[in-house]
Amino acid sequence: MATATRAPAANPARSGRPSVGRVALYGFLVLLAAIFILPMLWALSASFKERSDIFQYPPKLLPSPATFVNYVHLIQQQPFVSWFYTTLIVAVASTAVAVLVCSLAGFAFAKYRFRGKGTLFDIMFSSLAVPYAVVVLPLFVVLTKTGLTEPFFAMIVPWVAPAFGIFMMRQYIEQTVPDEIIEAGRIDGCTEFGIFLRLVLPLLRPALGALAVWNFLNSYNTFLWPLIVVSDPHRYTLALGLATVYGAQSHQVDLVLAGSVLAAIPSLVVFIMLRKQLLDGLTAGSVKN
Amino acid sequence: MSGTLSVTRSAPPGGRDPDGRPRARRLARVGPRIAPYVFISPFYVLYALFLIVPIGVGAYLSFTEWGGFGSPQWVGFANFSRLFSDADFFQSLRNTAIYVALSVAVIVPASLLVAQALNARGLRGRDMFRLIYFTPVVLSPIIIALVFQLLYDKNFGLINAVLKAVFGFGGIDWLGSPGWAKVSVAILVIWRWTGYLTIFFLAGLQGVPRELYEAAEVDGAGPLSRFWHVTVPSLRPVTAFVVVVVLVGSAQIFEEPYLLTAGGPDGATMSVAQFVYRAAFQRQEIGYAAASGFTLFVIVFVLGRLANWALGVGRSK
Amino acid sequence: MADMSRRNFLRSAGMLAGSVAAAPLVAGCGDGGKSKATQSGAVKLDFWTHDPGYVKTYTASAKAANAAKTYPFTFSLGVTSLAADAVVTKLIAQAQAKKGTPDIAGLEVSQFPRMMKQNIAPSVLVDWSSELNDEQKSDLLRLADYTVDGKAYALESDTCPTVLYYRPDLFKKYGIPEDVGSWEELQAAAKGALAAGKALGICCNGEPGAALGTFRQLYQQRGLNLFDESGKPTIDTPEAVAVIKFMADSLKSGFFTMVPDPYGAPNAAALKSEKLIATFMPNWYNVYGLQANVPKQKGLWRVRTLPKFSAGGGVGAALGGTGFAVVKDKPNTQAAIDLVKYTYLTKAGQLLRFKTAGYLPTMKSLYDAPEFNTYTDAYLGGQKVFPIYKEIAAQAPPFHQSADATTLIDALGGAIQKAQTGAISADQAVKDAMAQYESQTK
Repeated sequence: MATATRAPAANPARSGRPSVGRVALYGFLVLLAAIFILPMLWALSASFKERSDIFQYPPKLLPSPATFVNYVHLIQQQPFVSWFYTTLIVAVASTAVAVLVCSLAGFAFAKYRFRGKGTLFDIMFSSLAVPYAVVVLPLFVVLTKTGLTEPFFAMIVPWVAPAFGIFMMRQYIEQTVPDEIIEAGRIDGCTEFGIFLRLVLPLLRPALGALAVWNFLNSYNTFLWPLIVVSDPHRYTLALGLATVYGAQSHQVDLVLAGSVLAAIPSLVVFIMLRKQLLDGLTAGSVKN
Repeated sequence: MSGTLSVTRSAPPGGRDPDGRPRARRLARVGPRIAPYVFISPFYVLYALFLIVPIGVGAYLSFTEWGGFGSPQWVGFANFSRLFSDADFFQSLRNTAIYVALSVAVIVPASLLVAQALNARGLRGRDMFRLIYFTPVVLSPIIIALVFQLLYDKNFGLINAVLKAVFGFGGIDWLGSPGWAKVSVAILVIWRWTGYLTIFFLAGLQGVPRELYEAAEVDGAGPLSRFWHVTVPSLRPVTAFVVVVVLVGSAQIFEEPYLLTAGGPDGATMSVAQFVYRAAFQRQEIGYAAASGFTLFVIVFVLGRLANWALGVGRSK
Repeated sequence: MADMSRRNFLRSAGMLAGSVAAAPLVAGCGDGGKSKATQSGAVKLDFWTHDPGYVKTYTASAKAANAAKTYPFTFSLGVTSLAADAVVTKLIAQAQAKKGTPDIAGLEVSQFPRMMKQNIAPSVLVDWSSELNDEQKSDLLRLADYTVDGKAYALESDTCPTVLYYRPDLFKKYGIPEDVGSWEELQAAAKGALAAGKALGICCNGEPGAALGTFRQLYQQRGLNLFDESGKPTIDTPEAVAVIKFMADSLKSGFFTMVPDPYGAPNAAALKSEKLIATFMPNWYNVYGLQANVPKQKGLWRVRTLPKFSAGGGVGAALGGTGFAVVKDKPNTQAAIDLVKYTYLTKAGQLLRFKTAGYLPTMKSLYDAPEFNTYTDAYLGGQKVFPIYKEIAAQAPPFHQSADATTLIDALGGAIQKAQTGAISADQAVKDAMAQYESQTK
């Protein structure tokens, strides 16, 4: 929509009827779209099927008879709505903080010289390589020892400073924010924080969007950590709740399907909301001046 | 607005008494020397508390035998010597190396290609395509595994059915044969992450100034040559970033093989991360898990540094 | 390559090493101290399980026990649902944290070995062997599954006898008699069905545990199981080789078909499309496998004892189950023990379990009780199933556990996955599995 208006028409000299290249391009994009969306459509369709029809063979694309029974059961039998809220709170809160923490630190790494920078960056960068499964148990022990096991605290605070985010912001700032902007800010009498807040941050919209999407998805999908720190089933995250439903002896695939379809909605909404941030910020052209 | 926060430093001090400054002005005092430390401190405080400490604990645990309960027993290097004679561990290392190689060699170029296609001038429905390409990462991994098990099934799967209809053969045991199972996992990984990584390239592509292309076109460069001489160099930073992320991410790959094949048949698709998980949460050998996790950490660390060095990503200014 | 410098690397490494000082955090847990025990009155028991069936069962059981007034408590439940592996992961983590443990936990049998590592079970769970009298011990089936060093830490909730599920209509169509005595006879009789692309059983190539399921059920028919009483593997036998060979041959001939596991989509498709006209699984598969995936085949399935191997052995086999454990030294421990006792050691409790969620009696003496014996199964076309279950339950060899059970299951399951496709011989599979197991255990 917004993107269409921005793009200038293809080379006018060649316009007229669609070229072979155009047809191939659209063919390629449509084929790819089909491959990417097929499983999503299958899940959507299957979530409206009765349990015994989910694996019917040969498979039918449209549910017949269509039924809402899986959604109804999910919401009646499981605290799905609580899971949903918990997940949203955790994902939104940790993403908001992470974006701030990462962009600040990324800015420092990209645009300042300071003692110990190399070492500090090394330490940060090396933590990208820490396997999650190894950290989880010791972290739980540490939190228990220090009494910090309040579920929301434990689900949010330890994860608001992802090294990935800093790395990403540093890369981006280094590439796109010219030193002159900072110099100009200083000459105008801006504070360092003021420079960051009012001159740099606005240029970071695409990266902030990408980081927010990344962090939101990550937080949204974690399962092992909530499993260990959360005791009350009402405070489960969606990923944990659905894994529990699936892990029940009978593999309640029907409920998991309905839950997964509902669970996908917030991520899609976040993506749709942030897509302008993700892409359009860069094209304003201010960056290169 | 800009007057309130950004007082002093270059401006002459006003007639106000220095101690009566509002808090905002004190912040303003933080000069370029101190500022970076202030900026990175939130991260490092959190990092020290919630990552360094657990890593230290994990490192300690790798020298112990511990089932997760009671006090760990110090066993010195026993876990490591067992690890280096564990055929499963080496198999999982090999598998992970394959996943990493495939991810870097296939996903990175593929997402660049898709981004390039999406960036075509005057493309209709760009938003829709972008959204669709993004859907694989929002779908619950459990459901993804379910769908792909159906697709891959030897007898009832769609893929074999299509192969049979088009090429006349379709008896591939996608999940059952050790070789094909790796391919199946790799296809799933490509499917799941290509669309997502496309976003990064797309952002990069949109940042390439149009004038560069136009200048190249004036010089008579064809589309391929423009791609090679304008796009690729302009995307170098973003490519380097994506490569490091894919490298580090795929070295820790867990969900895809775990859910699709449970690491089988006979460990043919097991990744190191799953090996760690298995030791910790299926065998309750947390000391051993810590030792294997620590080894993975060292390998990924070294690889990350190498990539970094080769691509110049992490180079300090 | 500024930041690749050795100095920087050493500095980072030093920081890392410094944090090892944090290690004592893990060790030496302060004793939380025993809280005052609840003696009587209303108690709310924290109850963890992976199976909604147990929630139903224990809710009903608490109600019945309250009505019976045999115990000084009025029971109610606080339920936490978790996946089977998560129950154990979380139980151990909470036990280490000394808070938030459940009063009663359902430990799935394949997860129990994790509780045997480094004495976790004896440190955390109530020892049932001191709670049971000799008569109860000899009457209870499957106490061995949860026994460590002669002490039992959970009571099994289901007997899980393996039966042959089959479709009489399709057997008739392909001329297979329903009452053949041996696997070999069944194979011979099934030639026509095989030619039509039908199969009479499954082998699994999903996770090692699933692959092992087929083997374990058949192996028990030969009177053997994975471990002996002392926890040593008992798989290096001619019988094991014979069973693996039987599986590989059956796959090759099409007598068995390959699926990832008995629950997923491919197996469901095989049932739905009537490719699978027989399959051998425990009693619970009736509800969780067949009724869940092919409810419309109601009335078409029957069960019978497994055909024997002509080389010897019987019909006894079992697979799966969940043991109920009580966490010790908690205020509600006695109340939890009483509720579990009511549920498993009284006839009323056993009957209630069966009526609520279909779990079979775990006391041998009850298999002849008329309340069970006259039961007919509607999905199985009104078949009287107890005489069949009884015969199997009496013959199934005991399942002894080992702390290293998962290692053996992975090793043997993996080797079987290779052998069943013909990549290695059955003999080699057993050798490989033993070698792998021994290299990984002390």
